[in-house]
Parts: sequence; C-alpha cells; structure tokens
Amino acid sequence: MIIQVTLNSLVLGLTYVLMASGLTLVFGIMRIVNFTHGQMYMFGAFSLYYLTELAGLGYFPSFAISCGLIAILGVLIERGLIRPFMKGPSVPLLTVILGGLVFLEGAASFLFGELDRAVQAPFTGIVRLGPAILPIERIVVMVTALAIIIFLYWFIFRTKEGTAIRAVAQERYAARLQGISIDRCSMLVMAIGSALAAAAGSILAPIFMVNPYIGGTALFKALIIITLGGMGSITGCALGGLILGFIEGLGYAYLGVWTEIIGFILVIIILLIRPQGLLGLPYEIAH
Amino acid sequence: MKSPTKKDNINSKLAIPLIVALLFPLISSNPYYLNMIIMGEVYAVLTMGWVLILRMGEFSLGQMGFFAIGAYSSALLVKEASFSFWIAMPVAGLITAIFAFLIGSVTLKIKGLYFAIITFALGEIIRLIITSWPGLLGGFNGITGIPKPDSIALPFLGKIDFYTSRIPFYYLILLIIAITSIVLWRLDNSKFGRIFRCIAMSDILAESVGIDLKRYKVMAFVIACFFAGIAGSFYAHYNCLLHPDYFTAWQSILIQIEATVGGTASMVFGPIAGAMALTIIGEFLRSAKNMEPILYGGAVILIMFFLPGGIVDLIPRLRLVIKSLKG
Repeated sequence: MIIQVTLNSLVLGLTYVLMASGLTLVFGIMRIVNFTHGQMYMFGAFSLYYLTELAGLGYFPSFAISCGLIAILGVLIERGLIRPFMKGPSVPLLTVILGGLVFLEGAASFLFGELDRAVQAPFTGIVRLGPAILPIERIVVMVTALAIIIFLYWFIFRTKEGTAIRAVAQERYAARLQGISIDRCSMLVMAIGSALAAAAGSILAPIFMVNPYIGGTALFKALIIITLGGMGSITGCALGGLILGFIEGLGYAYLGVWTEIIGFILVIIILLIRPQGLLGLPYEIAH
Repeated sequence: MKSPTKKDNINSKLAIPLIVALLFPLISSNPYYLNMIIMGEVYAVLTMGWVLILRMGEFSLGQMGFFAIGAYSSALLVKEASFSFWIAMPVAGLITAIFAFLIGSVTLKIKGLYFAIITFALGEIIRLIITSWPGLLGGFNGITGIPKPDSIALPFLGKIDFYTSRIPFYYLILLIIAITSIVLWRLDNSKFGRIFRCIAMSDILAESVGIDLKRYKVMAFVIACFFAGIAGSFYAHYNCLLHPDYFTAWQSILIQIEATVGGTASMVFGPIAGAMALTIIGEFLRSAKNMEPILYGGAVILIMFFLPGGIVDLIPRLRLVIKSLKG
C-alpha cells in the first residue's frame, strides 16, 4: 500500500511539474502570470486528439506537431495581446490576458464541442514492482517529465539563448544595454512555455479525458506549484510539483475530501513565511 | 469658488442615471430584465469593493469567497437561528468584515502578485470548506428554501411584500448600491483616499512619511469585504438558493474583469458601468449559445484595446468628438 501510494504520488507530482514548467518559465522572464497557460494545455491535448484520431498520425509525430502548433499560438498571443500592454499599467494587461482566457476556452467549446474525448493510449500494459502496480503509460509520463526538466536546464544554462533569457530575468535594463532584445526573448520564452503546456496536455491526454474545460484545473494546479516552489525558478517548479503530488497522493489515500484544501493552505503558509516561495528570487528583487 | 461648480456638475451628471434607475421598474416590469439589472447591481457592489482594494495597491482574486461568507452566514442566521432578514443582513456584513479583519491583518504584509495568490487560495479554501461540510453548509447540495425578506412597513409607502414581485428587491439593491457608492465616494475623496493612493504609488515612501501601512490596508480590505458580505446576504435571500459552484475563483476573476472594463480611475461610476455593461452583454449573448464565451472574451479584449481606461473613458472621448464636430 505504502509503495503504491508513494509511486502514485511521484507520478502525480511529475505530472504537475509538466503542467507548471511553462508557466514558471514565462513568469521568470516576462514577470506576468500567463493565465492562458491552462488553455494552451487544453489546446495541446485537443490537437493531439485530432491529429491521432482524425488525421490518423502516430502518437509521436502528433505530439511534435501539437507542440509546434501551440508554440505558434503562444507567439501570436504574446505579440497580439500581451506586448501592446506590456509597457502600460498592470491592471489592463491582466484583464486582457483574462479576456484571452475566456476567448480561448469559448473558442474550444465552440470548435470542438463540450463532450469528453478519449485519446487512445500509445502504451499499454503494466509493470509490477513488488506489491505495487505501475501502468507503463505512467512510466512514460515520468520519463517525459524528467526529460523536459533536463531539457529546460540544458536550454537555460547551456545555450546562448538561455543565457540571454537568464540575463533578462535578472536585470532587464542591463540585459538590454548588452544588446539583448527583450521582445525577442519574450517571444521565444512564450513559444517554449506554450510548447511545454502543449507537451503536458499531449502526454496527459491518454490518461485523463479531453474537454474544453480541463485548462482551468491545469492553470490552478500550476499556480499553486509555482507559488510553492518560487515563481520563475525551474528547480522550484520541480520541487513544488513533487510536494503537491505527494500531498495529494498521500492525502487522497489517507484523508479524503479535505486534501484539496491542504494544498491551498500550504500556499498561504509558504507565502506568509517566505513570500518568494521555496526557491524563488528574493521578495525585494521580484518587485 | 471652484468647488461648488464642480459639485453641481457632478450632481447634474448623477441626476439622469438616478432618475432612470428609480423609474426603471415603471419602464419595464419584465421580470427577466429586472433580474438582469438586479444581478448586475449585486456585481456592482462587489466590483466597487474590488476597486477600493485596488486603490491601496493590491489585487484581490478572492472577493467571491467573502461574498460566500456573507451569503451563507445570512442564510444560516435566518433559516437556522430564525433572525429577521433586516437584522441578518448587517450582521452578515459584520461577520464578513470580522473574517476580513482576521485574514487581512495576517496576510496584508504580503503585497502584489503574492497577495493576489493568497486571496485566490482563500477564495478556493472557503469554497472547498462549503463543499466538504455538508452538515452545516449543505455541501454540494447547497442550501435551499432560504426565506425571502420579511415584509416591512414603511412610512408613506405602506407594507412592502417581497414575496409577490421582484420590484421591492430592485429598490433594496438600489438602496444598497446608493449607500455603498456614497460611503466609498466620500472615503475616496477624503484623507483616507489620498493615503490609499499614496500607499499604492510607493509603500516605502508612504511608510517613511509616517503612514501606518498595515492599518490603512486592513481598513480598505475590511470595508470592501463588508460590502461584499452585504451583497452576499442580499443574493442569498433574493435567489433563495445557495450553491458552492456559484462562488468559484472564476467568478472572482470576473469581478476584476468587470472593474477594469468599467474603469478603475473612478471609485463609483467605473465599477457600476463595468458590472452593468458586462452583465447585460453576457445576458444578451446567451442567445448566441455556444458562441457566448468567444464574444464575451472578444468584447473584453476589444474594450481594453480601444478604451484602456475603461468604459468611463467613453464620456470625455465622446465630448471631444462632439467638440471637434462643432468646429
């Protein structure tokens, strides 16, 4: 029982890491919470559904195409909605993003219908680990989540673009003085963040149902995670995701309905004690 | 001699909407439109509170939670403790204010996005407590059969009965909105309004000139939540049914959208304009069925693009257009 619960929590945690990694990346650079992140996740899941079920493509090509499509959508949102408001006060910016959220969710329910869709699982079968059972598709989730985290690390810390992105996150004006285009960085980050959301949606589509309203839950979970771990920090996002995964995994096994509250209470406690989150930038710099 | 003319100007501006508002039930007694306007006004009260919190520099994404506290405490007071509605409503407001005071005095040392996320988490915690406590709060079944306000005898008007028509509810929410507007308007144009703005511009500077940050922030938060509780109490006895699905974070986000679309520069006109406009737009878009959210989201984006200051910006702009047409 304990091994099973621990395994489930680990899988759940890594699933949450997938949902939140794009959001924390975008926040780290652009200093905005991209509320449309959940909708990118949902659109990613839907494009995977249409590519595999209707266009008859294999799972992996569909996965790649879906990430690419949503990256383009992310760039469109950055250029069309966010950039015109970036220099102004934060309230209209937030409202226009929220308007985008309503618009995208509405567009999905209009285009795709409100029914639950099921995506054929590319992997079937189970692995037995002693007394515990682990479906192979969950192992795929774990491996992909780890791969994405490693990819992000490599990208942020080892490539030239990643260095530029870090420079912008640390000090915008100094970065601009060094000849880094902040607009280009924002666009790149938005593309990667959206592609990560789409990747999460595509990986989780065979496990969960796909419908136009899955974006809300993904966004809320991602918000909790990046707050716990520290907004803008990728290690923090991994840590926050695992913490939430273990809280919920253990909670649903031993506590029942009150579990969902614990996550939110933890968020408030963390914010009161350490507003920047576990591994975030210091509070003063983040302002 | 400048201030009296300015005041007259405001009064004449107020006169037309006020007359329209007072006579509205005579123009249209259609219960459908009446319901739409009443719900718009309930949102307007919430939105005004949201703008008050924004005045002192914070976003709240959890106003629906305080609305729920007001609604549930008023419903329970009347249904279980057999209070009269007329006592339960202010008591519900006070209970909400006490909650806001306790929560605010702990959390308001946190600012910006972090405070917004705290309020978001609070709103969700309140909703989850409602759903996980079926014994007292009804859980997912909600609370049904909440009595309507008792009939009340007023001088000159006679006995007013809330059971037969919606018109008394209309005048009741109009009264609530009038009181909220007057209180917040006076507050905004007083010493306190200037202090709130000062804190919003630079809290460090405000503190350095001797402003007790926490005291004023908690004050604004408590006042905003008091009115949210009053609105919640009204909603509970108007709707006669409370369901936790009505108090989601999503609804709290709508309040912020309504406030910004209306315009946050003014304490009273902007929130009322935004809440009424978006409630009416939303209601008319219902006939568009599954196109509704697209058009609603599109409308919000378009308004922000062309009127970044909100709908209240429309009046000075129109005046400019008229002036340029005149020559």
